[in-house]
Formats: sequence, structure tokens, C-alpha cells
Amino acid sequence: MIVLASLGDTAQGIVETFGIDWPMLIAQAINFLIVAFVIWKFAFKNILSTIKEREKQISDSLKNADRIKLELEETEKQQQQTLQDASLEAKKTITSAQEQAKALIEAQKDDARKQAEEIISKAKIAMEQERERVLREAREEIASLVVLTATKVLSKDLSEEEKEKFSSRATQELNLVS
Amino acid sequence: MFSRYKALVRALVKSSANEHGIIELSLVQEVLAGLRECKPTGHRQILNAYLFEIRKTLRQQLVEVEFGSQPNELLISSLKSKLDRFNSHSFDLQVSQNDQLIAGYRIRLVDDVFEDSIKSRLSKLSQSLTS
Repeated sequence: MIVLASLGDTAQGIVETFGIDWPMLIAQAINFLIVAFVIWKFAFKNILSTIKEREKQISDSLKNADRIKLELEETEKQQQQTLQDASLEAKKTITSAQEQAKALIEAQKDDARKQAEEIISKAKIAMEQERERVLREAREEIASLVVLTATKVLSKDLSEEEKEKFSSRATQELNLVS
Repeated sequence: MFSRYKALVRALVKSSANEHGIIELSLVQEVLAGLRECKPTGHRQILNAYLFEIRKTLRQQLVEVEFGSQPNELLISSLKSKLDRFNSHSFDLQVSQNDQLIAGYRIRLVDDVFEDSIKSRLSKLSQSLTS
């Protein structure tokens, strides 16, 4: 009790020291509460809702940014894949074109070789025919000369007796079969 | 047309041949004179058929022989005996000399030609050289 009494005395001393006017203090407190209520009701609440809205917008934006980032990564991956596919396709096309070119060159080489062989073969045949013709003509010429010479020589040199002998022998050798 | 007078023409051709079966000019003239005298029906046709048959018979009977040398009796008789054996009917042998044969003979018998002469042997030689 004594302590409480001392504490009361202390408080009374402080109030007197600082000049506190209780009714004024209470009135000010009430005014403060009213002002705080009004601010909370008409300003603070709107500000909070605006902040919340902004937060939501920011959050949505962040989400969108993440999504866009993911989409961008996906697109990059797709682009990379497309590029790889295009590269592979191009390589395949080049390889195919090279093979076709090789085949075409080989075919043309074969054709050229065949044509050359054909030309050579024809030339050989023509040469052979020409050789045969020359030989045949020479043979005919020689035979003609031989016969002509023999005819002249025999006509001139055979005596009448020899001619008769030949005719007689030829007649004896004649064998007529009916 | 000739078939109507076939037997008659045959008989006329037979009358135109001598005892050896050789057609003789005098006998042919006799046959023609006889035909002119009696002038049977189809006189022109008979004459045509007779001419055809005479030509045919003469062609079959004619044997032309050419020798490269001077033909002598021995050669001719030897050839004639061989031709007698070959030919069933009679033939008229005409012998001549052909210097182009050089030596040997050439016989033309209707459509056949038999030759063994120096000229033919030289021709064979020429053919063998060129073939």
C-alpha cells in the first residue's frame, strides 16, 4: 500500500511537472481516433486495395515474364531443332546430289567409252573390208593376167600334135551318163 | 489346137526322117509338097504344128562338137560311140574347129554343154584364184 501510494505520488508529480490536462488529453485522443478512423476508412483502405492491385499486377507481370521466358526458351529450342533439321536435310540433299552427279558422270563415261569402242569397231570393219576388197581386186587382176598370159603362151607354143593329143585324151576321159 | 492333128503331125515327122531316124531336107520337102497337093482341113494349123515338131526334133538331133585342134576321124568316131551310148535316139553330129579352145572339145547337146578344153581349164584356174 505504501508502494502504491508512492507510485501515485510519482504519477501525480509527473502530471504536475509536464502540465497534463486530462480533459484536453481525452478530447485529443478522441479526435485522433476519429481522424484515424476516417483516414483508415476513406484513404488507407483505398491505398491498400491499390497496393494489393499493384502487387497482383506485378505478380502477374512476373508470371507473364516467366511464361514468356519459357516460351522464348522453347522457341529457341525449336529454332535450334529446326536449324539442325535443316542442316541435316541440306547435308542429305548435298550427298544425294553428289551421288547423282557421280552416277551421271559414270553413265556419261560409259556412253563415251561405248561410242569410242563402236567407232573403233566400225573403223576396224571398214579397214578389213577395204583390205579384202584390195586383195580381191589384186587376186582378180593377177588371175586375169595369169590366164591371159597362159592362153597366149599355150596358143602360140602348143604344136598341133600336142593339141591333138590333149583333145584325144580329153575325149577318152569323157564320161557321159544318161 | 495342135492336139487335134497330133497323130498326123507325128506321122509326117516320121516320114521326114531317113532310115537312121535323122530328119532330111529332101524328105521334108516331099512331105510339104504332098501337103500342098492334098490341102487337108486345117492345112495352116497342120503346117504350123509340123514346123514346130520339125524344129524340136532337129534341135534334139543336133549335136554340135567343137575341137580346139584339127578334128580327125579317130577322135570323131570315139566321140560318136560315146554319144551313141548316151543318146537313145539318132542324132546329127556337126563337127567344127574352134581355135579359142586351144585344145580339147566342147559338145552342145540340146540344152547341155560338155567341155574339156584348155580354155575351160584356164577359166577354172582363174575362178579358183579369185574365190
